[in-house]
Amino acid sequence: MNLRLAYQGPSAPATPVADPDGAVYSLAAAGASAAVEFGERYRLPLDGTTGLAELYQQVERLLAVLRTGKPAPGDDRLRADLPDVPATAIMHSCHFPSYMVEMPVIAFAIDGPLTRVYTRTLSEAQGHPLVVGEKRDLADAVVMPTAALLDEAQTFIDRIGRDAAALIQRRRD
Amino acid sequence: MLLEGEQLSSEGARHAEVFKQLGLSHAYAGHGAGRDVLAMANEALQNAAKPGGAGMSSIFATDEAMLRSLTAAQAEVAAGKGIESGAKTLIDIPATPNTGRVFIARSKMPACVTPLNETPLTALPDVAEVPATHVRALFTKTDRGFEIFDIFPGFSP
Repeated sequence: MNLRLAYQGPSAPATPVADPDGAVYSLAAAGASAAVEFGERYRLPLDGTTGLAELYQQVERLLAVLRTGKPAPGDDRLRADLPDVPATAIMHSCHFPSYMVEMPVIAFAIDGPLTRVYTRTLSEAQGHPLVVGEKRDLADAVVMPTAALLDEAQTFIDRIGRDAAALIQRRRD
Repeated sequence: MLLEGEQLSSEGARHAEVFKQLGLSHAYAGHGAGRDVLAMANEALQNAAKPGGAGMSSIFATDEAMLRSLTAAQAEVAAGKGIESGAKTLIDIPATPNTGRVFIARSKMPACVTPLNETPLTALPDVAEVPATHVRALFTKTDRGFEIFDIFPGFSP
């Protein structure tokens, strides 16, 4: 079972815009949405005005880490909160503030050809510990090929990029 | 909004550019004072339908409230306060009067809470309004320092 980044394009005509950043919000305003999925066991919808953009931005950051092998500052701190993280792994995380409270967190332990993916929740309890949210998260990490993760992330970015480029082109026309 | 004495329309390109330069494009799109209140409140219902969703949405009352909140949150994160979660740091600061509005799906209303308004929008009878108790900011730690990722009014029972 691998991580899937689902993208559903706009359900109505989106407003043409001048720049790529604005294009993602325009697509969302026209009904485009996304979801992080692990088969039938986990589905994190990212819709509304900012859900799609927050996933898009963080997948771009994930791609940079996967390509360069350079972790983002601070991400190594996650190691202490997650079980079975290999000592050689590079840590990375995505947070989803569009949920406002009990924010979903997806953490990656990238260890060469294999990546462990953890689904967690930033609890509202004192100190906001990272917990397994009982209504949402998988207790165990999902292990998947790093190459498949990179391919899925790039495909997601490319699909949105094509729709965004079309909006920018329409604006120019 | 005034910038060096010039009034900037909330629909204008220069207004958007100011928020972009402050790193607030994302927050403004999601919680900016210029958002349509009905659409904003409807997002509480969307949120309620998500797994683990709290059924909340919120909007700043004014641009000034968002900028003031950002300044306060930046001071906290610069002082080493906040909760670190990987590359992110979460800051909650108390809301001041007129910070903004928080909507909540009535199906998600905690039993102990008396709403400010049971039905603030007649078009959305399943949405109530609760007071903004704090502002939540999420910063990303980068090689250049802390960058704002999102900021919004929040509610805690």
